[in-house]
Amino acid sequence: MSTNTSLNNANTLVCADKIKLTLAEKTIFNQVSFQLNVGDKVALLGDSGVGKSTLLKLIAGIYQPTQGTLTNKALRIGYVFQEPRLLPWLTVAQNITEVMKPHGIAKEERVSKLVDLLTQVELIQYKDYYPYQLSGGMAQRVSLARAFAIEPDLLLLDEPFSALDHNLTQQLSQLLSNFLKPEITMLYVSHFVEQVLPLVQSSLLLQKDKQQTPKLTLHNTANISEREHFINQFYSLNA
Amino acid sequence: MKAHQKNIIYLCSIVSLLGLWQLLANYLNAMVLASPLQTLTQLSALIATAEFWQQVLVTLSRLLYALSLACFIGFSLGLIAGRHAWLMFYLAPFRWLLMSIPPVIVVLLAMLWFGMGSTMVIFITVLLLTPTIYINTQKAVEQIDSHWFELAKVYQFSWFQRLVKIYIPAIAGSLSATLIIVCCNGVRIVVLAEVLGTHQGIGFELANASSNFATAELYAWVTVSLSIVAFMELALLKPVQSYLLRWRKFI
Repeated sequence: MSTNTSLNNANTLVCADKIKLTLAEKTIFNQVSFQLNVGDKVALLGDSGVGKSTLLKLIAGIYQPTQGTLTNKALRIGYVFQEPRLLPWLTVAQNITEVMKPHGIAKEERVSKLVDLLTQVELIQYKDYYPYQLSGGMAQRVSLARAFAIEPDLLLLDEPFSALDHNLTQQLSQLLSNFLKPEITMLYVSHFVEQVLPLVQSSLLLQKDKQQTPKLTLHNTANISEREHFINQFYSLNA
Repeated sequence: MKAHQKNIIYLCSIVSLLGLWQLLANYLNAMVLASPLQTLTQLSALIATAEFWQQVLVTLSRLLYALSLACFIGFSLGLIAGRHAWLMFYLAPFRWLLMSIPPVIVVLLAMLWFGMGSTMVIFITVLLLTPTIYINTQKAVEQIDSHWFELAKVYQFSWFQRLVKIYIPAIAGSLSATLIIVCCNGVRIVVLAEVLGTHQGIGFELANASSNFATAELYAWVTVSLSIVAFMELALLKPVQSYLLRWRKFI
């Protein structure tokens, strides 16, 4: 993980070099650079409205940078949105199997993966339910299972548990850490710093400078003392 | 509302309609308005003939061709125009023209171009129905939540998945309402075109009955035409609508 970029590194998965993004004639980012390596687990922190979700959408290819280069070598991107974003006309099982189809996963394998994932998220008995029949926590568990169904190289999490209560958030964070494998690269957007730091090795802090343009700074939050130092720094910066 | 409650309401409505018809028939001359009983008797006699089924089949096949073609063109163009504004702007003058031109003018022009017969009927019906399907599809596609396209992009959905798993279910509500309107209008346009310029079909039989002052037969053919509309809505479109919208909470 770095804010200096070098695409030549074979270990590099995502590389953003001096990217600029303009949406509706408003500059969201300018001169933002960073690099994610295979297996990095990184938090993307910052105030509400600073552009964290937009940066995630840029990485996912939903937006294209106005200037600069963004290279994403990930073949399979798992994305957990703020809201579960389950297709309401598909059942729980269909929502999960549908994302596997573009990746050429055979039908038998899709079914066995589905059973395995739904068992892990404890929703196997709800596989034929429609999203409106699920609670918020259950729907977000399905969304998490969907992201892992494609065995992602890159996992993008956009405040996935922000609408849930503390207990549910703890449960789902535990579930997420169970799913995470060393080779998965994860970028986890949150403005609840304590929630995300135990799951990551480093943090990118997105803050607006004096010209109101968001800038990224990298912080090592791999161990507990560094985390506490960062949390204090984070809150003093945002006070 | 429960199914049996709906059926009772439907039944009450039909009985009221028949009652009103009988009441009017009591006061008006039989040459002007045949009673429900006279119509039913005439209809029974017609149904027993092979020619009746031939004529109904001709109208139904024209309707089927026209509806299929209009749905294919209107739906395809609406789908693309809903996502690509340039096509919507390009097609706008064509839509204005087709939606504002009186059907009788289209019938006269089509008779001039294609002569009398099925081609003319199908052409007119397609021409007059396509704009309705197109505009409803285009507006419905425009209103699809962009969240679903983001999801499809991230998870690399194929165009077929986008069509079947996003576009069609997302616009199903609006589309099924449009299909009901289009099917009803389709029957009306086909029958109108047959009245004016064919030698076969329900419309032709209506014109014949009218010129022969066979009032009971005229109303019998009108009843057949109404029955086709009712059959299409209740036996074909409603089940399709219920299937497409089965995921909704309060159906």
